[in-house]
Amino acid sequence: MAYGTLTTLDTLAASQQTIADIGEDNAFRAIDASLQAHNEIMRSLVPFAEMTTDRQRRYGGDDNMSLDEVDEFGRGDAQKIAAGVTVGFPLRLFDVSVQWTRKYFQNATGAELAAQFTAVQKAHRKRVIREIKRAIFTPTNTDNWVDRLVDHVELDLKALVNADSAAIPSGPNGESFDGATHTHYLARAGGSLAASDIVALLETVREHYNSGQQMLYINRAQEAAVRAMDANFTAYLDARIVGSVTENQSRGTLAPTNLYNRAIGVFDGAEVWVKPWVPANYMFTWIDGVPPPLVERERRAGSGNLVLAAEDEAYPLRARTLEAEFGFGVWNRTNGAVLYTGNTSYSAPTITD
Amino acid sequence: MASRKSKKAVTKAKEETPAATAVAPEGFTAAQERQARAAKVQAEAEAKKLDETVPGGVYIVDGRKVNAHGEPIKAKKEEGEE
Repeated sequence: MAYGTLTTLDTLAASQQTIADIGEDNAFRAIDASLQAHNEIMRSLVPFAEMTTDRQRRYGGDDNMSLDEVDEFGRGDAQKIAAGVTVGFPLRLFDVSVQWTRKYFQNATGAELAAQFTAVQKAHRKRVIREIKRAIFTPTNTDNWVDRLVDHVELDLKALVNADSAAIPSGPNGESFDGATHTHYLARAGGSLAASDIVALLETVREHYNSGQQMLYINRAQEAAVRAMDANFTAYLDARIVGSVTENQSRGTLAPTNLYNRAIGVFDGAEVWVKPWVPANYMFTWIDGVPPPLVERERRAGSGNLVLAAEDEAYPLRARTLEAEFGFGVWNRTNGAVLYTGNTSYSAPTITD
Repeated sequence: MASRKSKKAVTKAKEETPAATAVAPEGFTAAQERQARAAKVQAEAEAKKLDETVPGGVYIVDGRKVNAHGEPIKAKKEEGEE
């Protein structure tokens, strides 16, 4: 599948001249410009993660108190809200090197060199997605994670709400949730996926908020099953088709050829998206418009980009190393829930590219 | 000895009870309404159960049952087993 954005690297990629003819400086100027464009795109790629330089934050603790009725000599009981929890965010370092000989540059075309660096950018995109998947679909906390790239302080990385007995903020109408049993990692209830499983998934997040636009991300493998739930699901139509006048119509438009990354309709108020990175048999929901479920930690503002780390010349070899330092962690533990449709107990997926 | 309401008092109480004014829709009796409500509550309760788990959580990671902190959950011993 051809995906990506046309950039200045495409100019280099169109050249059949050798790098020696183009000039190394010219070639790398094109590559650097392309890298800058790639980083701009990557920073706006993930709608449900905010960028931060924080390595931990305080979460939860919002709870209910009650006003006591008293007489003129009375004083209400002292009350306090449940203590919140500290959620930590990881910082990891990823890099890749491209290495060549001087003879390579005398023979290789601009297209060949451009292809190498396009592959590096794709590798960065895949790694970002992989870290997002690890943050979302892992149901367990990682306590005492060591911040090795900074000062070896131990951080507690949390999953979405997972019945770990941590405080959970009360709902919009004062609803309280039992931290010891309330979980956002769900599994189907019966022998096969039912509409009620998806309704429960959506409400698991919705019960914590009363505003925003809910999103449901599914794998293409579950698209047919979701489409068949016509009591809850209203499909988006191809813009060229006029819908039946006797049925409900949705206002969205279906992209007919983009099979693996498109909105396909509305399920009980949530917009359903087929996403290429959601593993088969898993569904993820979150609400856009309230604090996002994830944060992307970086060392300094902007330092989470894919950047040139080193240029190394040790004749006859030359190498360029590119690195990206970032990490995804769960921040707003209630704004996200996962449904595993493969069985009746939540089973963590194997996280791969 | 427990006091007993006189027949007169009971009659008075009956007189003070306001007469039911709500009229059930045609073909829909109060019993059916109660049944429908009970079924709805039951369905809601079952849906609600999905976001609850045993205290501490039970998840399968790498084929093993673990709790929310990733600690293995020991299988319950059979009755009588030491």
